[in-house]
Amino acid sequence: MNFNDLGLKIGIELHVQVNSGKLFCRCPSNLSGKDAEFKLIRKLRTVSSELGEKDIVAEYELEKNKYAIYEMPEESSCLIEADEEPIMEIDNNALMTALQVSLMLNAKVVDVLQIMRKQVLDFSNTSSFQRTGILAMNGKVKTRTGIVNIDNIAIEEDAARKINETKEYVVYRLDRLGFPLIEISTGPNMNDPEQAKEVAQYIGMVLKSTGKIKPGIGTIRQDLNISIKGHPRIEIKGVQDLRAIPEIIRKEAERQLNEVKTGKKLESHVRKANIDNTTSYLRPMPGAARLYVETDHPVIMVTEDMIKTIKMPELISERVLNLESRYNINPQLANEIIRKNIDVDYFIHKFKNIDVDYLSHVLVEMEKEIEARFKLKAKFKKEEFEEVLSYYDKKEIAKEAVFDIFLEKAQGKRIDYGKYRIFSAAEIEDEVKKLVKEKKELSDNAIMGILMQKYRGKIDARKLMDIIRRYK
Amino acid sequence: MKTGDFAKVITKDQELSGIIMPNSNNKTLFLKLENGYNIGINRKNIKKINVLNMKKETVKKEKVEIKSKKNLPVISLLHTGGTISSRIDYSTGAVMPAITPEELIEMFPELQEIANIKSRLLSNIASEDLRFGDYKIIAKEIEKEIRSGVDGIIIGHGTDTMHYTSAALSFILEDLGIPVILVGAQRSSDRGSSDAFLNLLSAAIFITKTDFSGICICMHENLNDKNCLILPGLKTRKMHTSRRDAFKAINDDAIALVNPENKKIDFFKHYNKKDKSKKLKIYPDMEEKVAIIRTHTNMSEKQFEFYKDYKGLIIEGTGLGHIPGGKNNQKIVDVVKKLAKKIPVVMTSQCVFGRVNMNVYSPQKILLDSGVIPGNDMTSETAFIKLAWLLKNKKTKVRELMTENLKGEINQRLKERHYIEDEF
Repeated sequence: MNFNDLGLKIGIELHVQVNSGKLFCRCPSNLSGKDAEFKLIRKLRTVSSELGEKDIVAEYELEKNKYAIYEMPEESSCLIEADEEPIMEIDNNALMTALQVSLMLNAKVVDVLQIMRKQVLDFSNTSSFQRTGILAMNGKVKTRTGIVNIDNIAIEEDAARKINETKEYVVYRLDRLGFPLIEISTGPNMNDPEQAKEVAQYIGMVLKSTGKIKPGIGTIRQDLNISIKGHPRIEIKGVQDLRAIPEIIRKEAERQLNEVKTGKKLESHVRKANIDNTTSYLRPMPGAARLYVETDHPVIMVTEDMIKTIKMPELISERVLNLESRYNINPQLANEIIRKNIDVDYFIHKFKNIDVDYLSHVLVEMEKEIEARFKLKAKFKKEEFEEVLSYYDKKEIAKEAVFDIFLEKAQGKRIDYGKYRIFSAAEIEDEVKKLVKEKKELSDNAIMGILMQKYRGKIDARKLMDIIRRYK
Repeated sequence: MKTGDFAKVITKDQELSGIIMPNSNNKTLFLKLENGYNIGINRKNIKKINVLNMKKETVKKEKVEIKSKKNLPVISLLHTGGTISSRIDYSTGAVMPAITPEELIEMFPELQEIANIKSRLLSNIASEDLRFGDYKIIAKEIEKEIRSGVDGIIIGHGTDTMHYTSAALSFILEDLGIPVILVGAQRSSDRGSSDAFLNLLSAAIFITKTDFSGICICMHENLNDKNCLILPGLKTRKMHTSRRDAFKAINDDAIALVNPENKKIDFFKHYNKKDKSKKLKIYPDMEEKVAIIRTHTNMSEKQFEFYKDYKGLIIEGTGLGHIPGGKNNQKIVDVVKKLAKKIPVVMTSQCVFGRVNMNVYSPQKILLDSGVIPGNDMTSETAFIKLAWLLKNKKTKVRELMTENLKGEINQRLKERHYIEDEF
């Protein structure tokens, strides 16, 4: 397929959860696993849109004529999520993070932020609208294939989590309602599926570079806007995996091409991404005019003083490059060290006798290796790494012992470092001498093998070989 | 350039197009962008504004035609203001009253199935701004509606002082033969989640499905959009700043519970039966110079002295009805004693629940002896309204009638259930 001939246009919308308290109340942004202490029953009514007509999408969702059951976990929701109390002022950490991201994406920050109410189409917000505001506009991202515009950067509240749905009702949990989100929308000026992936990856990297993004799967969600010549815009929701972006776009473009060929009248609508990277129909495209002022929140002046306090973090990509050149670590290791946020400088500084490559290897790979070889979930604390590595650094244990000790830790054993005490060559010289005399027929390596059965991990193998050779 | 114009705004570093919004001021220009979002632009940063399109006058919508149905009862809906009957202008964000029957039916079409609705605006003021004169206006309008033969009246009211109005109407209206229900909303009706609809619908159903007559308040039972309580006009209070179930019966039972979905109504107490042949009389005058003072620790006698020219005073005491009266506070006791000799001084309790009893502690007995009137189990608000009403309408018997149950404002038998429900 030639995408240029097709007139393919792609835009991306990224939603990312900021790691702060909720946006308009003082509840923590935590998901609750246990059963909610309290449940609410609510009905929603269609309200007229600003055109005086009931929104077609609002009708579409509500004609189902269901009611909602809201689960209200006490640990993560209060009266504000229940729509029983007016909102509080915006969370400052979330606001400052969004501001930082705006500057990192070279966007122009608004002078005054106005929080809006965006009508929602289902029960996912107890108030029947989502609070959102545009914080910055007209940013830019450089890609290998050209510059991509960032049209808008908004700060908004996340919706409630859908837990269950029956013919009569829908169950939502209010824990996620109000999580702070940053929404980044690119212009529709991409025309290459790979470029879309690159842009999503780059923006994701910028977001992570702030160190203020919620870790874990599903904390960055992306929607795609796709159209080809002769086909109205299609929005694809719920793309979880960045790597799937090009294939989803290709399959959607193909689907649109087939639709255009049928000559039917085509309508703009919303689709959802499936596991096999195809898409399926979700609902009609919402009408445009569904935003009005959130009168319960004052407007927010974005002052020069606020902007001045913002420090621009070093991008993850730059940090990887710096680490590579600073310690001569291979790119893959450097990338993992940064991604896992390992304080490698601390370890390198502290353990000067340990080779940097080996040190990085232990820090990055040890857990993975134990998991792969012994099917053991391993997660070591910084102090545990420090403890084991300090024995090795002082040459009290051999390199071979390091893995064995971590394995024992993963198995939950108490470590007896005496067991791993390194023997000096002098201590076993007599034993070597005797063995060499008795087993004259054996090769160096065979004798080495016998001795290593006893002293593996407790002696420097190279030095042992030296002794064997001396008596042969 | 004016509000509503579509303009291109050129700032020092970008060009923005949108509709000029009404909350713009001399520091900030607010613009509704084409994507629907509003943003504010500091006027100092604006280089130029080009109006591209003048404001289009919005085309009036076709009006919904309302046909009255012969077999349905008639409900008169009188608006005094407040959240209940407001609608939002989505283009500006301004909240405006929706008053005409057409607008109301458009917002709540189900009402048409229940009754023929007459709808009228009496005033459009926040309920905290109401004055005694407004109760008079409302009473006179109720009289007018009853004369025209309606089967029930709903009064749309701001929630903050709805229980003052219900108390006032309870005293002002004599020989009321139909239901008069005050209805409010805690969430504005631009929200799909507004409580306005359920409250209004429940009130309409209660009017048409029962033979109740009297003054009451209709609001959510709890946080669910399921049932509404019919609450006694003299023994109800707003107990929460924001919850939709803010209104609770105080020292009394609710009158009834309405489930508007299955139209099931459960009564919890006896009530006056509807009688449209009754001839309503109104006594709308109330004494202006009546006040409530709340006691607290660290008081000064000067705070009480302030009311020396008043005609009546409610003291919202602590506990069983106490004011500071120990050795160090003798001056306060002296001032209150002097006041009580001159004007009716009524003691209520800031505990809200329970009854005042001034016989338990000796300093309060002195007050009782000097003429302070115990307010029994009345809320301060009801006692305040009752006192103001008695001072104009039963001038010679104020002290006596203050302690007597006239319209259901005093409950002599407090039951275990007449308190905050135990949720655990």
